[in-house]
Amino acid sequence: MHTMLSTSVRGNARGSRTRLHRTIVGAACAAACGSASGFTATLNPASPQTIYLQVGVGSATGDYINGGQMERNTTINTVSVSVSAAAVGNGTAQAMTTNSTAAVSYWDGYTYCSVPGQMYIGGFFRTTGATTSPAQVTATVPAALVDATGDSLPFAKISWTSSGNGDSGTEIFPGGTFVNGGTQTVGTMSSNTWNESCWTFSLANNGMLAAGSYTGTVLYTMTAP
Amino acid sequence: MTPLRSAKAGSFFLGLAFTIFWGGAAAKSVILDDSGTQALDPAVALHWKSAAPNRSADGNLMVGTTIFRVRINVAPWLKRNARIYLLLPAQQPGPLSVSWTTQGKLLPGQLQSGNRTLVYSGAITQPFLEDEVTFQFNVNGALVKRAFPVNFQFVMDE
Repeated sequence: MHTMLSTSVRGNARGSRTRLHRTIVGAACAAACGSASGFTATLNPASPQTIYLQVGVGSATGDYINGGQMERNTTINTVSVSVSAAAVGNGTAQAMTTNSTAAVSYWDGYTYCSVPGQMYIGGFFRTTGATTSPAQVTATVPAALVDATGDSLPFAKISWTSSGNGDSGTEIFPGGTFVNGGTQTVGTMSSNTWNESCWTFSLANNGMLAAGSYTGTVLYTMTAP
Repeated sequence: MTPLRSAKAGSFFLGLAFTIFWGGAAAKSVILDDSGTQALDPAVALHWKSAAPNRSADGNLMVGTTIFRVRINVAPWLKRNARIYLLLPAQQPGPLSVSWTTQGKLLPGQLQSGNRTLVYSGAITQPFLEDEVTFQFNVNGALVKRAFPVNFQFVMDE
């Protein structure tokens, strides 16, 4: 490009014959020197990976679509049911309720779940590049719920259905039944999509139980590729 | 007399032919010397435009911003009118868009890769066109896995 510059200066200082010369040289330089021009920016995806899972209540600075940011919330919510002595073992499933107050989706503020009958589950994972294999959400389930005296209730007595206000079709986190001890997959998430469902739990009331308060804790884990 | 009239007619025909030839020549794009352009931060950090994605898979946009001190050598066209374009050639890893603001010497605008946009139209009064340009890049996060260069060119139609 320096050749083109010096030639053009001479051309401007001289007459028409020089301008013709400038044009020819300029055209030659455009062909020969053009590839040397241009500037470059290097785009670098910085810390692009994010993972978020919410089971029950969560925290955010606001709705995502209004610029909200997801936050950490370590609350362990409870799903419970009290079965009257007269109803124990009558074969009628007992609807369970939750102390989770998460009725509203942090995505857009939409009232998505109905509490206390439903528990919110949702999340996403961010990653760059082509679509990856989905993230797995698993439940690590104890063998049984137990009471203070050691009586037990198999976790497989607890099932859930899945829905969400305004939803139709298949839920990302479908209904299911707990295993009696072990880890089971309860949903999968494609990369870079927001996924959510509302779970309605119930107890299969089909066996006799000793009176007591049976508890057990299920741990939900999200694993992204 | 007849041969003389024939000679004049022949000259006229040739002159007309040349006129048509030059008038029909297509405008040629010249890549401008912008070797004086400097990036304040040539490594552009891309971030998700939104912290969380949409419910559908269309929330993949990543954005990044950087500033260039643009210096284009336009000395060959001094005292002439010129139309200068910013060209973003189609390049790997795939389609991307860029928008920019300027300090006023060049025009602000936006551009999709594989296209060009007018950034200057008018008389060339100085040997260099200089401006500070803030670029914002927009790229589908699904296309990027690692750092990649994006090349620009300033071109002029002659």
